[in-house]
Amino acid sequence: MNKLIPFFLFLVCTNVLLSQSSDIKVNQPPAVKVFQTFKDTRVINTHATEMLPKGKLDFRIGHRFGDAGGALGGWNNFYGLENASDVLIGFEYGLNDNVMIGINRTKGSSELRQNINTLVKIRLMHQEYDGNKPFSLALLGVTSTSTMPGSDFPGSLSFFTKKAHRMSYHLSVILSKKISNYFSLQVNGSWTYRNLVPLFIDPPSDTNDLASVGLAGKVQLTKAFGIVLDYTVPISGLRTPSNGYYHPFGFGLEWETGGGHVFQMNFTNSTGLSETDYIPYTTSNWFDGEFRWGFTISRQFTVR
Amino acid sequence: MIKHILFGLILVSIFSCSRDVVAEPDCDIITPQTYQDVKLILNASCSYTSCHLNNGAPGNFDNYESIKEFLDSNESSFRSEINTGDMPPDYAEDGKESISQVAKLQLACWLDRGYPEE
Amino acid sequence: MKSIIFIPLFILGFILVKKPETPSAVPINDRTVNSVLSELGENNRDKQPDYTMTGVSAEKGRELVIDGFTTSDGKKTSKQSKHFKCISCHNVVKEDIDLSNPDPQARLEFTNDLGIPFLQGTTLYGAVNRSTYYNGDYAKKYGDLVKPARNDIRGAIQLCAVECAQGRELKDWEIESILAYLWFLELKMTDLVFSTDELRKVVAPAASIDARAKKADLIKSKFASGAAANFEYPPDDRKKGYVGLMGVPDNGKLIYENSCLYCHENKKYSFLHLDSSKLSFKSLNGKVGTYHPHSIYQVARWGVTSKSGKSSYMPQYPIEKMSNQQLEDLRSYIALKAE
Repeated sequence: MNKLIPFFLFLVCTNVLLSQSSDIKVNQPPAVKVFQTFKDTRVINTHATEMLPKGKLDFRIGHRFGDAGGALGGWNNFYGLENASDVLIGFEYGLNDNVMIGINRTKGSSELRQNINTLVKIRLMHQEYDGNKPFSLALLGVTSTSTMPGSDFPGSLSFFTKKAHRMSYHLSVILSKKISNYFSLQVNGSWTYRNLVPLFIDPPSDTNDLASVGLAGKVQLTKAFGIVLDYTVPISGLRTPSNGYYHPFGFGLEWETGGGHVFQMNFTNSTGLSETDYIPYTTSNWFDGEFRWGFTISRQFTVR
Repeated sequence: MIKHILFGLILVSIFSCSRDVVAEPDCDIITPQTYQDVKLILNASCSYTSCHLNNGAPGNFDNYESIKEFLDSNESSFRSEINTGDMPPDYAEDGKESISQVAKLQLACWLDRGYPEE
Repeated sequence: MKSIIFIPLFILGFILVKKPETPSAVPINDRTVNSVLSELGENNRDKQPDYTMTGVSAEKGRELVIDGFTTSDGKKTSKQSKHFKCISCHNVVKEDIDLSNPDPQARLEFTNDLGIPFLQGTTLYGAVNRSTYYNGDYAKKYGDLVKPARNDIRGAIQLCAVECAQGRELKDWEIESILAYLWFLELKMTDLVFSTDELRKVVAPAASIDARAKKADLIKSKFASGAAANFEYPPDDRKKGYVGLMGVPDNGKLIYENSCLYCHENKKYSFLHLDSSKLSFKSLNGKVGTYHPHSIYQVARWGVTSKSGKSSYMPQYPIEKMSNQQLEDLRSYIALKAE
């Protein structure tokens, strides 16, 4: 009996201590999630890990002008300002803080025009200050459907022998980190799939699958003003300067205005706004002056 | 409700997949394509006053050196504009608003051959 | 011998027979202010919720106050406001130690100790004990809208819902439910601060009408019948600040963290995000001496107007809710952190 008493005391103490430790875990305040790795749901063309809050409706207008220089630019068309290589008008909505959906219409800068793009973005992980989550991680899915009248020329991408030829898809895994209040960095790995692809001379055709990697960053100079960078590398032996293809690269100046707007002015060589457009079809070269001015207006409304 | 719509959209997307390439133009059915062959098309539909002549529009298409220089940087745009029918534009001179199927085929075949002069 | 048997029975009987309990037998510290005042002839019946109305419950009232919506017939009601809940601007616990003399600095320290925010709105704790609402200069801001609210708690709740929260009108049963919940937040006698002599007077029985009235007046003097609200102007020279006042950054830190960040951190209730980064402090510091809507003088004393797309607006701090000294303290903290 005397030997059993210390044993039972040990059991009781252990139980109490274990309970205490689990109580301590429960009572710890939740880790604080980082706020605004990027100020908008896009960096320039690339999606960021930012999400719309639940119940917020985002009305977006994106615009890309014509080439500032090169054969298609210059004083003739006021350095591209008299042309529009692509326009995006659409709405996005936060179903909850980690899921958003969207629909937009783009003019399209490739052979596929009058595109209706739908998107779903899901945030799987939200970076925390001093927490166990050092990054934010999101998944993006986009479908694009060209609604243009079919071409009568069989050599055209818009000949549309099948309805499915109007469609393209895009999937992205996006990883970002807010390194400090002044600097954020993001990488993404993507897969773009086009149901119909154009011919090349040598080899004889493009590939329906197109993988790409992207890099994006933000430098916050003041509370309201920052610079953003966006670079995508399509992983394709076909997409070389000798074939007339260039990597989409852009930089932007971003202002957060007092009333909920985020206004961005950017310069990029890519003509398209949607992932299924600018990743496979960027044929403009920065060094030939084939870049353009673009802007994005985003305004959020509280719906519920 | 929204989940059902999303699920439906995903299903539609998956079942809409195909793996196709644009049909290769049958260049055998037309005469060999050199600049001299397509020059007639270009002069008739593109290179005239206020269009692709004397800087009326981007690129001069009235001589080989100029159009080659343009195509070296903008072949994709050129193809795209012709294929989509954006060029010639609706506001072109009467009779010049469109080019024929055969003309499009000739231009495509010429481009596929590397747009040779001879 | 026989009489000795009856003695234990007598003692047992004495114990078993209960003396009838009167309210005055309950120690006064365990009672609510309203129950004591009711005994003294004060009437608060008009503030009692109407439980005969279908759907009225204090729990639903609590949900409306804390969450901004509740349920009706098993379904969620729409949010009262897209922008705010009651607790966005009002605490639901006692926030002044001395309710008879609410002082913003004492409130700042007390709320900091309690870990609750330092807010522009008066706490809902004890709201049912007050007699007037939307007092003082709120008439300048809301004009005739305060008339149905000044002496009627139901009118005040509705005015707050529609104007301050920029939300929908509350239905009658929702107002009654909120009122029912507010009664759970009524003042207790232990919330009042009495001197030893005053406590003796409060505890002593009051036989005459006159004595009861004096006792009631004594109790009522220990809490404000209405929250005073006097709007203050920004300093004449915004670059120099309020003349003669030297800011204390440590105190300013409390105000920034417990008041500003409560609404502005992560854009909780505002378009403007603020945090403890140098970016935020530099931005605020650069605007202090201006008329910009991000100038702390401008927003603390005048609030802001609504912007298109978001009808809600920042309420200002009357002098009773933030003193000029506190505003200077906040300024000095922002200036220090911006360096």
